[in-house]
Amino acid sequence: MKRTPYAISAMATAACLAAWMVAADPESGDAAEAGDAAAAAAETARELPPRVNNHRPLRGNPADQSEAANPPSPFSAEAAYGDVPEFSVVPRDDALSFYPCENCHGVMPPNPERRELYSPHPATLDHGAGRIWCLDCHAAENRNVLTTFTGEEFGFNEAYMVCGQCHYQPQKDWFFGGHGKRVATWQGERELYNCTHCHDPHAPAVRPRQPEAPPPIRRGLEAQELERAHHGSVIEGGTKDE
Amino acid sequence: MSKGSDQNRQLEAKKPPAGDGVDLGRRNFLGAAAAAAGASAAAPAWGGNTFMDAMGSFFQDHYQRMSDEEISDALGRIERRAKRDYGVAILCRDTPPQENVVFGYALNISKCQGYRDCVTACVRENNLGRDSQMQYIRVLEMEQGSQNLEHSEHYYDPETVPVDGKYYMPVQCMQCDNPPCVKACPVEATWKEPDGIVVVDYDWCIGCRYCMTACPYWARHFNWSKPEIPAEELNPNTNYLGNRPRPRGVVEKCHFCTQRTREGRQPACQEACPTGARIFGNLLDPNSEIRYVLENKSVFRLKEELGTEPKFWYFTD
Repeated sequence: MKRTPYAISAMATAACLAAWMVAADPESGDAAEAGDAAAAAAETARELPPRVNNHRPLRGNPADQSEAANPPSPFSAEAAYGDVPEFSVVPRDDALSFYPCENCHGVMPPNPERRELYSPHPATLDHGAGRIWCLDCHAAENRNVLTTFTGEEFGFNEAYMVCGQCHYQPQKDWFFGGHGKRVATWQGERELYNCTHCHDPHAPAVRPRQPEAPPPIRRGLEAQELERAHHGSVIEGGTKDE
Repeated sequence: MSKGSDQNRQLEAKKPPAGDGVDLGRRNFLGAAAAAAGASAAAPAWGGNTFMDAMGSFFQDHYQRMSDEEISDALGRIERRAKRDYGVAILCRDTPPQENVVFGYALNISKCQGYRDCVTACVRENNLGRDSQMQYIRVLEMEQGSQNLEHSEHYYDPETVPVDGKYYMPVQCMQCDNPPCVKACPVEATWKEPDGIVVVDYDWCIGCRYCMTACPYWARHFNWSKPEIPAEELNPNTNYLGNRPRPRGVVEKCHFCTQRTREGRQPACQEACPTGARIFGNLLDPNSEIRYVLENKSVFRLKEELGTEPKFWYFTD
């Protein structure tokens, strides 16, 4: 294939362009009306390969067949970490005052509007700094269960699956025993306290508390030790200006 | 001094008539005999013991040399003595260490709030004298950003804890793998058990307190007076090397609640901690909680440079 006619003149170039346009639309009946030069140019242009667009959309990539069949739910300890030691959770729903919630909500239409709630619901939600509200954790259609952001439903005894959406590091530690507390035994059956056993989900920060009584002061040490307790360290006074 | 003597007199007065509080152990047998010879007519024979019990206590051997039968006899004497001293029927056992178990402890100082619940639970569980200064656990209030133990405060008593700018570090026996206290004991009354717990034979201790000076963690404590325990609070589940009622004049220490942990239960301090800061378990089990903490958290040990190899780790989130 010779490409020289393209370079001869501007006219030839124009003719070539016209011929290509004709070639690109082979059904056009106007191709015969072009001039001789254009016809000659068209003869060579017809042999150009059709222009293809090399853009391949990413979404056209083949799906992973192995996972597409039945992907495991990401909302399980096994899916997340695989080797979590077996455990059970201290039941939580029997500690809830108004459970089951459907006693009231079963006959009330769900109202998805963000609004202030009244008793018996907590008036304030001191959790998430205003970024979350009731129906981010409570399922709108079934108040007896909790929900994740992706719509998975968990009972109140599996609250740790809901908490772990944001608090994933404490959740991982909890699965393996680095966070939270194991009940009664270090050996044998592993029973854990749920997140909500210690943390009020509507105000999870730990509130200060009075400590147990201090140890008795040894006989003969009263003056010195009380000075320590109330006026700072005695030793500090001795070594401050060294 | 005078206060203490008064107290002792009061304690003597409170004793049931059957006993005068003299524990006829090996230590004070001669003293008691001398006192008896010196015409102290008030003292009943054998300190309220039967003749057999008095002789049994006197000739009782070191724990590790006793046969099963001798240990069983010793346990019976302990139970009878507790009944006499406190009026409570206790069960004293000699729970052996489990195979393939070495205990370890980890404490999360980011979580500890300084409530001292562990201390209270320990005192009750281990039958520590209520009137003495005896406490196995000291919760140190520390300046944030500092590790200076000299500037810590363990008598803190604010309205609420935690106090801003402070953190809390409970200190108890570290159950060292290379325990300096064991080396210091001149009569081998303290040793490391196969499950890693450093224990004391209270009947063999002579009360010299060398181990207390050898311990860099202030973990060992001396019974200056006979432990005063209200009868209704006496924990009847006891152990020979653990929480059985101790006589006056012996050293004792945290023993990881042998009466609980050797049966698979958690120690009392772990059970009481409301924050979940305390993590206890078997160091030889790769799936245990303690191993997860040691492998995944930043941990440190107290005074590690001394080479005592504590089996008690501190960690942060």
